[in-house]
Amino acid sequence: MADDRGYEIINPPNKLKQTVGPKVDLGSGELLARADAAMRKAAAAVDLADDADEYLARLRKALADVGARQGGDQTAAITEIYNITHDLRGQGTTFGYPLVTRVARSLNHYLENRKKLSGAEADVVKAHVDALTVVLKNRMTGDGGAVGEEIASSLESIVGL
Amino acid sequence: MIGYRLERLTVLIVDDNKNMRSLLRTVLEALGVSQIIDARDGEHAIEKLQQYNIDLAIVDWVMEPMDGIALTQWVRTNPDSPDQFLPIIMLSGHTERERVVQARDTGITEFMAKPISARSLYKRIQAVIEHPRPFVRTKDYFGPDRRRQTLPFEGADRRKNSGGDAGSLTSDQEAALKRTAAGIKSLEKTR
Repeated sequence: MADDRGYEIINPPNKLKQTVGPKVDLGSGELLARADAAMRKAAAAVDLADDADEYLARLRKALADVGARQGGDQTAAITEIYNITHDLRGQGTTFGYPLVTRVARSLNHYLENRKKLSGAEADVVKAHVDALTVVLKNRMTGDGGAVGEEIASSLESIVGL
Repeated sequence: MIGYRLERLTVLIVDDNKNMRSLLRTVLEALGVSQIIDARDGEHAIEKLQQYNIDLAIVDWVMEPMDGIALTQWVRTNPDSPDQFLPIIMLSGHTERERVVQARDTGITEFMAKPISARSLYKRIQAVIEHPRPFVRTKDYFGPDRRRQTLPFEGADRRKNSGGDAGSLTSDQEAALKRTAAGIKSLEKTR
């Protein structure tokens, strides 16, 4: 029950600590090194480009919906683009495609809080989708070299990053 | 290195992306966690929470039909929640400060930005074990005491978007768009 201050502080028992037990000697840090190695190996086994067709098809469809609904309700289409892009953003760097994360982050930033897109603004979205397409279709892992940098930094400058 | 053995923990992973679920499972197993339960979104997670005794949840933000924020709210406030104090680590591609604050205000315990590493995940789990926060109940909020949280966020504050009312692009933006198109075209030619 909240007291006169309008708030109540509750100190629940630390069940997590009770479950794991006391700290022990875990050795010289091999646990974390092995876990990092296991993660890198698992990440390297995934090629994001293999799932690319589905992501890109959904993006293009949503972009077409945005265009078809000029002057109308574009929110569902914009939300779809945002969600797909967010998914790619979270995966890109983890699975060897930092350029995907960069372009996706740029597009997420552009779409943040937007409920509608004019024709010109939809062109900015399309430029991002085109960039994601060329990166994934060309399996441009790593930083993408000079051209990859040019594409990503141009997009970032458009959206204000 | 002195630390906690995680063998006895049951951890719930909630992420709609199968690659991420699989990766998290690999890392947690390598860190010693033996009981790992998967869920593909918030609603699926609720089913799992009611079936299993979960000690810790690692939850993605953006998921359909129920996202990590809505799941956290359910855990903290729904009468059917089996453990309103459940430690929740939100793992997200969002790094913007206002997003981190929003997640914190919903009642997550810790926030981790993607990409993760095994080390950062272990450290975060260790922090949740060693530094449990008191909970606070007000008329508007129930969750970990936000005053003690120092959540990381990357980069400086960013300008917010104008919201699209102007509708057209500046000449700088047009020029940048042309550069992007030229770059993309040059890559398409080499395919």
